Amino acid sequence: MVTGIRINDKSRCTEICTGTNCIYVCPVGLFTLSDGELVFHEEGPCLECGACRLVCDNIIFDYPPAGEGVLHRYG
Amino acid sequence: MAKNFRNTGEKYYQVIVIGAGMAGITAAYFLAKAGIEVLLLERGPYPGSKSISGGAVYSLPTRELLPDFWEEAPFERVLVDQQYWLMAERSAVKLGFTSLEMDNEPYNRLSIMRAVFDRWYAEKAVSAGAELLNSCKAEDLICENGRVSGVRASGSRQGDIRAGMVILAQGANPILAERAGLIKKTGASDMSLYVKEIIAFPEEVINERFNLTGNRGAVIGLLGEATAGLPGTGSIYTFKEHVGINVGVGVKTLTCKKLKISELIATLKGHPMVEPLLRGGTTVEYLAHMIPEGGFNAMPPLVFDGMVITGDSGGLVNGTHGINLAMYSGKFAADTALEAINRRDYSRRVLRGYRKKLEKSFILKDMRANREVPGLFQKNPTLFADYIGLVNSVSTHLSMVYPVSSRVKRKFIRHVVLNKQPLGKLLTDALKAVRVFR
Repeated sequence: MVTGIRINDKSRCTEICTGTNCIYVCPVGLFTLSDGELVFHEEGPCLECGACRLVCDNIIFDYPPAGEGVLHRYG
Repeated sequence: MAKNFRNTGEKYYQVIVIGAGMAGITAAYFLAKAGIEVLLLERGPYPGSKSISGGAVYSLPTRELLPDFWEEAPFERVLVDQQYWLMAERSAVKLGFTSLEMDNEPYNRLSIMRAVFDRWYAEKAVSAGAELLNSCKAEDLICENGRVSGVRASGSRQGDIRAGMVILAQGANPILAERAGLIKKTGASDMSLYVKEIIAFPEEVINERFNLTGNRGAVIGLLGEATAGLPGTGSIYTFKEHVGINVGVGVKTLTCKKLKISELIATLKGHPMVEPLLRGGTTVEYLAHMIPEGGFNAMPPLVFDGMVITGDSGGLVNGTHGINLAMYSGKFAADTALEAINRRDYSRRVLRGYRKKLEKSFILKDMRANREVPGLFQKNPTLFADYIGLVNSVSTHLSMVYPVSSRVKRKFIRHVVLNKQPLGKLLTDALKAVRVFR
């Protein structure tokens, strides 16, 4: 799955960020900590909620390309 | 109706609506009905493919826009049973109201699934003459000469599409308007994040567990421990062969408390009062969505030269009500667009009529009246949890039969109450609440 999300400057995650807000708000855990380092799983099943974009200005959020991304069968 | 072509050869629409959710479809439907050339853009492969809501439409307001819609709209159950559970860790005070009056037309609440409902609704707009483009994403607003004059699209149609005006119905993340510098990003304290699971059951199991017959349904609002005592709500909705459970709290709350939203719903599903309702079901969908909950004070400007903002994009949510506000704002946007088309003037001066219509309706009247509610919870985050804890412990003692006289028991309960909430705090909290809830 293609997300529209990217991290602007990865070095900020390791060098400056102390909050790791992204890992708490992402409902599918696209942001995880591995040995104290932030890993962004860009192939993960993003639900397109947009919460990550509100908690970190280093996250550039866009929706996936037209026709792609999460598909609700029920909603 | 004559088609308007610009000299570039590209097709020109009177109105482009971005987003086929409740607000966008409503706007497109009413414009198409009035014979307007309207283009409805949906970035997903079908309308509803990105939509989500707790699960119900309110039939009385909806039928004002779509008379007798229940005869053709795909709804799941007629909600006749409405409960609120004030939950503690191992107890819950349950308030409920069941009315079979609501089982008759025009009903009150009907549970719906948005992936199904929105698809039906969009087809209705298409039948009325709207042009729907699925898998077409608006990448940018085209802003020329200080006004919005179209969209830059990708997907099933590529490139610039121009229009007299744009109705933005992009949902809770109005990134197009942000990117164009027209509005600011909503703050994390003004948005809540909800997750929802849809769990499949045989129809009889749902009827048995929720004490229902036929296509009657129940909705349970979950408060208190449901959100780990944080300001927010949960709810359980019954559908024909599914039960939906959702829970949400403020985005800022999650980061402050270092709480994962996925853990919140897992804990709620395991709550001793909730687990028996969901036991044995199969989760068939897991969804997430943000809801603008900052209320009136957090609304962005809604009217621009060549554009109005509707629904969630405009922060038009009042408490647990969103769909109504979205639909009505879509209708008002369509009505305003008609005025603009008649006057051949899409400037802010004419489009301001949209804001006036919102002001005159229940939408902004209610949102204005409740404007202090979000602030009350931001300033007193434990307000709900404190009192829900209190009513649970009082209920426990009321319910327990002790080997003491009633007089001693009453005194004891008074002691329990004042121990948790001193008299002065009780009074000031009550006063705060009275001032804020109108």
